[in-house]
Amino acid sequence: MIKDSTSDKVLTVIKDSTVDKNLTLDKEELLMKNKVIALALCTALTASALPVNVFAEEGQKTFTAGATTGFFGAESLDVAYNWDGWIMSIYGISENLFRLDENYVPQPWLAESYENVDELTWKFNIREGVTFSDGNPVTAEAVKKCFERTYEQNERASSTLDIASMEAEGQVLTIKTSAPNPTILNDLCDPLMGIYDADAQVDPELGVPCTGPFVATSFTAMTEVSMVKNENYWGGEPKVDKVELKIIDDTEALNMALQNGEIDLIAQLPAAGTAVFADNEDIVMESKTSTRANFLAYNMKHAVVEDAAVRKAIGMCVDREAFADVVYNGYATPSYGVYPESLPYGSTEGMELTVTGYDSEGAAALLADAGYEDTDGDGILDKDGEPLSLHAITYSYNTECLQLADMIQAELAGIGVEMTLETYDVLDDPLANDEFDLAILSHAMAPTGSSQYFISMLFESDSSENMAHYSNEEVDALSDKLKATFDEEERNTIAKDVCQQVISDKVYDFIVHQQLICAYSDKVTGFEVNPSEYYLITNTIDIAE
Amino acid sequence: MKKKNKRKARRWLIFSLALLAVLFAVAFIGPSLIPHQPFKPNMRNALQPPSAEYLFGTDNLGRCVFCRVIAGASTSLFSALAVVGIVFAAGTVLGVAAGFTGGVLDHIIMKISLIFQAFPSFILAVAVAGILGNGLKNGIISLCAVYWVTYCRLARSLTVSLRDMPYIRAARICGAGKISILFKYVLPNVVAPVLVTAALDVGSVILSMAGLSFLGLGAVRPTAEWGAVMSEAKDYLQTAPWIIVFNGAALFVVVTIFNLFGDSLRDVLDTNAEI
Repeated sequence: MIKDSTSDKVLTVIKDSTVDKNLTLDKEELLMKNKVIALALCTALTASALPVNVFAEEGQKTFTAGATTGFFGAESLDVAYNWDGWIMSIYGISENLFRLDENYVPQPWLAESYENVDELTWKFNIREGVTFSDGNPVTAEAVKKCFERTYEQNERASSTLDIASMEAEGQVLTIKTSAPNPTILNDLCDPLMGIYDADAQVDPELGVPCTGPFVATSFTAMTEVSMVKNENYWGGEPKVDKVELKIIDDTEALNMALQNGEIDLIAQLPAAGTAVFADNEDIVMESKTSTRANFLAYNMKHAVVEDAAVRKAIGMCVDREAFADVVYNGYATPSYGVYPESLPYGSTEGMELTVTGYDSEGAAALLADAGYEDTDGDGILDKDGEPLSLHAITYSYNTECLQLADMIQAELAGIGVEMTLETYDVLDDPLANDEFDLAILSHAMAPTGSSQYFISMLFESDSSENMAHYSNEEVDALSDKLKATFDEEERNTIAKDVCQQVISDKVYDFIVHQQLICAYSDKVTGFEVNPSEYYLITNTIDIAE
Repeated sequence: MKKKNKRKARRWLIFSLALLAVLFAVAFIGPSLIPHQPFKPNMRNALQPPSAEYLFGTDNLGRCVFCRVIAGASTSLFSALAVVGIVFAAGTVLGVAAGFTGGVLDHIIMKISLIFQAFPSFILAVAVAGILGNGLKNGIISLCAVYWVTYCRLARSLTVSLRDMPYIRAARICGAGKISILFKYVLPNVVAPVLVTAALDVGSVILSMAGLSFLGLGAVRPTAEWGAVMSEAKDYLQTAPWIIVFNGAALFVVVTIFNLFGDSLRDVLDTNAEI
């Protein structure tokens, strides 16, 4: 019954559209053809139910990538807001005056060339013919206005690059710094210094117009972004027409999305996924040693971790080698110092280390020597009536940090230290409000290649991200000295001196340095992993049909 | 025929009680007999497939999955029993109070229970747990908020139907006070059917608790609660499926045993009632 009525309907449709062309067909033939078409329609209907881009416009290439919140999570598309500039640089929306190459050396990008007039004065020639996505030309004046707005909106900017004054003339931007700045080119690579059109109205959804190869068409905070290619991109027309980026925090869902072709690339693949793709011939896995580290930060305002012996004991309870080998599947190297060995100032040679290996018995003995004992018999050590119980926080989506937390929790329980754990999607608030004794964090330590970056951000007493309230006069003095030193070798020595202080104080304890892993379908070409984590989507990315 | 059914039901009841006894023995005594420490990471042994030494394999931190399943049994069992105990007591008291007194109190209690019933139950539990924050205690509270309504309404309707029974009227005529009628004639007749419901609910409460923990709202690290463990293990679904499979199997077995017990208890009590 149903079948008959359907074919009748199809018949009328066919009559309307094809009768003219098929005047010679007799009715039987026509009916036969109707059935074929009905079948085709059914197939099309079924196919449309599948989440495949069947209806993508003819010849349009769409590139889709997925990552966890840590890599793709932006709250807005405003370069100046919080850390969003970084994510926008990853998205391929915003660009800087300089770009780091894979050896962390700044190369001209929106700036064509520069001239170091004197210790405090730098002249930058802005590339001609570059326009923002709203069509306005990128002039020195536009860059100046952009920096002015960023400095007004984001307090991290002045600790990134201290600018005394700026002058704009045609395409020449003159920056005067208040003190000699040997790392100005590196600092200009920080995506916070991304170039956008400050004259344009900030769109509540799509943010500020930038110069990158892609332009956002829709954006949902911490969820996804859709972009189309910037037709007038100065660096050459992007090879794909559309880019879709999704945040998938569930590791297994992320892996499966790549396996079933829902996405073409996983950026910053969680280490658990490396085993999944190791034997998969259709998936390419590429990794580069990044400067990202997993580390512990103690809140020096809280009495429970004030005692250096406690911090050292916790450090001794972490089996760094096992963590790197097992949790990271070898895609990380254990750390007893501060910076990764791959950086010129990263070696711990000749340094006095506070912790040299996993030694939980040593940790127990250390705590006993420091006067901690279990007087009330509840299984938790105490001193002066205060139990040795600490509250730790970490990211809810970062499986490696969570496993590190599990390891530390169990190890500490073994030596009589209680650790409670709370997890957050965004750690900014609990960190700023001192709602932690111990924070298990993951940070890129030298994304600009400069040692100054992390020292200014975390180690200086009054730095913007120093949530641990670390304060060491010597570190402050060394940091000031580093800022004024141009000689590369001398800079490395100073950076190492800072590291020695940080290692001795143990307010920050670095566990492993990890690699940046990307996994992608073998259909993807023109993609390159950049170890700095600043870049991902470029105009050269292409995908085979 | 009825006698035969009754005998069969009794046999099932005894069988399920025996299984329950084994289950509780495992949950109680098991943790002190297991060969490995369930919470201590042993990284060099991570992600080992099941073997003679590690019956269920090891997890991502090298902990014995078998030992963790045993260690997690008590959490699942006792949190579920706590929920059922609390809602059984609270629901029965409120329901009987509402049904026996009637009037304004009846209206208030029933309208409140209606409000709770208006939400899909698991969504309500997630919302309550989300507001209270994670933790086993908060998980128990949120499930209680969902489950008490059934007991309250059941107890009330039973009480209302009993209130005007001839034997209650007879007792009243003979001069029995309200309190003694309530405790001697009403409660004993209400408790049995509510108890059957409670027995049948244990399984679903265990599942709900595991569901909450899976979402990160119930038990917190390092508890080896099955739902929480399965949530962590899903990252290794492709490379180390044994972690999630054995925890899921444990959940399945326990829920089946409790359902079997609930069903046979209902059959036994029902046939008794008919005779």
